[in-house]
Amino acid sequence: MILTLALLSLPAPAKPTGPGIFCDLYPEAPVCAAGSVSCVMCHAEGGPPSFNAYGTDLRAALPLVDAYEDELPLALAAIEALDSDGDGASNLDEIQAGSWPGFGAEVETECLPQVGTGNSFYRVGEYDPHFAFKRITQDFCGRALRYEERQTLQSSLSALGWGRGDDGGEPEGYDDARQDPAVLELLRDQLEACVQSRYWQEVVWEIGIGVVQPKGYNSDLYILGNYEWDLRLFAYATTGDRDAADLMQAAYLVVEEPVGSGLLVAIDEPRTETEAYAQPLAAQDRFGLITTRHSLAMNVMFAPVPRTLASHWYRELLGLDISLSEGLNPIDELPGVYDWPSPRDVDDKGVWQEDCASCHTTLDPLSYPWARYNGIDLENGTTGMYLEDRATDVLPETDGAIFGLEIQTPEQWVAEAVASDAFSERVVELFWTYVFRRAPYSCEAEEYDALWTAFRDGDYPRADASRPRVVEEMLHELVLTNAYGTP
Amino acid sequence: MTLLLLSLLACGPDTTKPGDTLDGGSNDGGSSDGGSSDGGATDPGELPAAAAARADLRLKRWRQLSLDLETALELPGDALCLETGLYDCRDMHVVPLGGTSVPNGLYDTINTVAATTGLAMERFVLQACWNRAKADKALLEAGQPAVVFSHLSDPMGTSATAEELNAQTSELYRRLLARDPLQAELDALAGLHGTVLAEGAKNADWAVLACFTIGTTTEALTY
Ligand code: HEC
Ligand code: HEC
Repeated sequence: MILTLALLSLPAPAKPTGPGIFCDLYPEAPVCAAGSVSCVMCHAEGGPPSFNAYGTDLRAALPLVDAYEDELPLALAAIEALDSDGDGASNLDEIQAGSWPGFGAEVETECLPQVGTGNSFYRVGEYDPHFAFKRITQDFCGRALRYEERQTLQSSLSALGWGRGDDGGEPEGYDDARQDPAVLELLRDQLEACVQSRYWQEVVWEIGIGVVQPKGYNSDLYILGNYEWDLRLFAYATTGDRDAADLMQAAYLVVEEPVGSGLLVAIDEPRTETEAYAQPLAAQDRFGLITTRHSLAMNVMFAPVPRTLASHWYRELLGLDISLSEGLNPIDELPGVYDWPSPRDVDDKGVWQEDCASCHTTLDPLSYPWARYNGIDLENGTTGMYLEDRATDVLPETDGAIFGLEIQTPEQWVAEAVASDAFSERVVELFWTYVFRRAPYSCEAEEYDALWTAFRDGDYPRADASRPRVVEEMLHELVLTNAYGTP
Repeated sequence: MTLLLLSLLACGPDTTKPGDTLDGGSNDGGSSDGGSSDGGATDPGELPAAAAARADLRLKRWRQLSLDLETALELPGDALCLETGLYDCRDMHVVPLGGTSVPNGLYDTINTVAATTGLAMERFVLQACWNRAKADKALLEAGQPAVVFSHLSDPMGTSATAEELNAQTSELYRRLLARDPLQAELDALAGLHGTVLAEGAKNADWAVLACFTIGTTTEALTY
């Protein structure tokens, strides 16, 4: 694994002669050419005296008869041909290529060991409240701290005993800023204020665009549906103290009141004829984003079996992309008929064939429960409506399956969906990715898993949080992760 | 053109171009979150040595860039940057600057650096600085005090005192980076003054370039 070793350069502390000896032997190694060798070239992530895989091999090669400094060059040479970290490249090759002989290729650069480096501005390698506060303001208020704010922040944190930088110190009894209630309050107040900002509203709207994938026009009179209803619902369900399950379960509609204010309000029924045209379903037939006029028109279109509808929401809200063979739970609808599990192929599209069945044994049963929702109707004005007798010729019953579980109705479909791990993980992923601009690194996987499982279970440390899947509560935990607040 | 080349001039440790450091790894240790060089706590002449290995920086997206320039330069969002005087940069460059575009069917924000991201950011900052300078000039001509570019006694002149240059630089650092400049940074921008004026420009041109230089540092564009 190639990376810039210079980033990890450490000022040499008292005893260690390891780096010097290393560079006497490998003067050409990029890390030596760059000036200095990090202790974690040989020592473990947490720093000396533990060793990483390379250091462990090195140590094993030391006879320890004489001073180890004298033995080191021979020992280093002795382990050149080994592949200590088991990533396929020999130690010597890695040293010459400027990578780490002690850490495998599966470890990203960002996951490499961090030790305090005498940085007087940030607490490198530990959760830094100065850094986190700044980042919260930028991520959720959309702006940098101003000069005066920064001064104030520094003095408030210093007054609490959390000065800046590696040597900033900590108050008696704490070794992590997140244990200090006063620090937590400072960070939480800032986040609380920021998620109310216009900026964050716009961000949530933008995240919704990725999920809804708006097409057509944003007019309530547009036959294929005004996607702004969908975006408003997305924003509403993922802000405040709402359960994100509303994304698939809301029977309410969301309007902006007054228009242009950014204030979203849930209403039980359309208030005007135009709104009734825009969202024609009766309340008991509405299932959040799935059944808006825009969603039904764009995804069902004219198909009796609404495969695209099912696959779209399976992908966007459950993170399972059937076209990538994700989330496959095959149901053999014709046991014994073919040599492979196959769907019934109710509409005669050839999906029973072996090549197609691998996906369609999942996709078709996933679609059946939605068969009564109409897509586009250019003649009779039933676009996006629920029609008792729709597609009854091919599907007299709408029994289907999700995650391999047999279900009959859309209501059961969404109930299983929102209760799944896939849903919670997906919603957290949407926000994580927006904030971090990337998926979690391997070293962040544990924090990430804790984040979405707590989200799923409604298990938040903040006393006033009692409901599951509240995005804002999840964000309060997200900003306290090492991934977020450790420079 | 000289303008863009000048942005590469060193002014302290944080002059890496935005694209260089977005996802960490390759930066030269000059900045941990870009803020590793922010002054105040230590001897102002001393550059911080160490940086975070993570270097897990994020590039500001267009809204963030816009909000920061609006506040720093006290300009309304729609007066920051207009391409050919007509098209708001916030619309025109929305995609390379990390936004979405429904009319173009671009539903997902790019999370990496597009080929045009650096250019879009530079244009955005340069125009914002330029527009502030124009507004300040108009204020001065109307007999009112300038808002940002207020420290040069003779904007259209070709010489300025060290005090004037340092005061203007400090003003810009406080506004754009929320900190005071280090001595090395003051020196670098004073050096820029010499370079720019040798090419026949005026004090006011230097001020815009100084604004641009500071506003396009890694520290200003990432967090
Ligand atoms: C080239 C590999 C290498 C590098 C680089 C290296 N060390 Fe070591 N270090 C060793 C070896 C080998 C030992 C001796 C182990 C023994 O005596 O069993 C050692 C021992 C130590 C010990 C003593 C541990 C003990 O049990 O007495 C300390 C402390 C230490 N190193 C700190 C550092 C620090 C701090 C750095 C970075 C500045 C560093 N080392 C860099 C290889 C290295
Ligand atoms: C890798 C998985 C996969 C395989 C293999 C596959 N499909 Fe599909 N199919 C899908 C998905 C997913 C959709 C839903 C449409 C979408 O999301 O774009 C779909 C939709 C369809 C549709 C409905 C299109 C519409 O516009 O309503 C038909 C018909 C279809 N597939 C037929 C087939 C046939 C025939 C085969 C075999 C030759 C096949 N598929 C193989 C995944 C697959």
